Amino acid sequence: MSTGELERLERVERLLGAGLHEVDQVAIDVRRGRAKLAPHVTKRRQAVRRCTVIAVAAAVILAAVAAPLVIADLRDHERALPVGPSPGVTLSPSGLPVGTLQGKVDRTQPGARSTVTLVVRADGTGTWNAGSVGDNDFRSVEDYDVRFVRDGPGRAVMKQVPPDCGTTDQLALTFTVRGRTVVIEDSNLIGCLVTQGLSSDLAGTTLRLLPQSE
Amino acid sequence: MVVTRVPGRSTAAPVDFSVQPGTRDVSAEELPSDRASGVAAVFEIHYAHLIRLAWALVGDPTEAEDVVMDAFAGLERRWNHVRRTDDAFFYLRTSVVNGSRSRMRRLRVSRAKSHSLADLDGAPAEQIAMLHLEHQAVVIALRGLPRRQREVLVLRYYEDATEAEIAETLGISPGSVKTHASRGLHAVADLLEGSV
Repeated sequence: MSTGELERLERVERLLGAGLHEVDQVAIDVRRGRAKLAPHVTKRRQAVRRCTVIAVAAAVILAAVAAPLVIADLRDHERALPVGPSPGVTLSPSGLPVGTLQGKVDRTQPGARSTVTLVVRADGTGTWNAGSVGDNDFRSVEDYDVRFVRDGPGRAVMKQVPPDCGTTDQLALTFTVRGRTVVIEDSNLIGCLVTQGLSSDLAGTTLRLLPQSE
Repeated sequence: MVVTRVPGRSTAAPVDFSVQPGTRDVSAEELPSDRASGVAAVFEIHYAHLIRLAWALVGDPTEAEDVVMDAFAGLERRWNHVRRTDDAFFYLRTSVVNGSRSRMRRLRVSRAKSHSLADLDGAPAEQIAMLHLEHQAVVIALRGLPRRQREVLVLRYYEDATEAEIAETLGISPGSVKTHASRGLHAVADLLEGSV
């Protein structure tokens, strides 16, 4: 850089420093500022709170709108899977995958909730848990020992051993295995293994094979 | 008492960040843990200086006051993270620079919408008139610079901030600070020559 250029920039620096610092000559009314600070802080705090509320509300609305779409998309994806088990999934003699199958039942009875769990073992034995609450005051969260018996392709009968009601206590299931899911197409109850309401509601339920339960 | 280097005024050689002039001290003393009295204490120490810094950046005392008030409101919200007066000062300075930037953006939009004949970056005429004649041109030229260059020059020549402090305040690299400072200085020099 030439001497002339350096001098030019030094002059600009001096002017900048002096010009900017002229504002230091201006008296600042600190007392007035102090008086305005508290109301300003309160106003800003309210604004932040308002923004937070709006952001949370927007997030909740977004989640409410997006969740069913995401779930529907996942269900579509599951339905699009080819019929048959995923590699690594073993089928028991009944045709149901070996492992723990679990799914939430879409209940028609108001207030009733059921998350059913089936444990299917390779030898055909297993357990059944209706996971029901609010079902005509019937509460069933116990495991029942059952035996899964093949009743044709995509059909199995779940028999309680020993039966509680009469000589037969069973639930016949028609199902489709897709990947790691089992979709119950239809169910038919004989006895009292579940309530009639839950038996009817089981149709359409998707049971998922829990990880590392095979 | 620990003393940190600080804002003040400079007559350094062109963009020589090795020069550390500094005329004002920011103490690194512990602050009262009570939020209200802590903010009040910091307010007493730094309010006037921050108003002048914001004024240098936005060119309008009313807007500057709003920017500084917002910075103090932010400090009040984050009080639990502030332990010492220098923490508070550096937080406030960054808030003022960022707040001034947003304010300038909003002012430009609103002035453009209202088709005002006022100088977009200029201060009101009476404020400009307060300056010595030879300083008017340089301040007006400064306001004609791109945002980053203006911020770097204000922090350098009004705050006497080091290259590292400017980089941290603006969230850019020290190399960028040098580039903006050099370009800004040349641009002001060119604008001044053009205005003569």
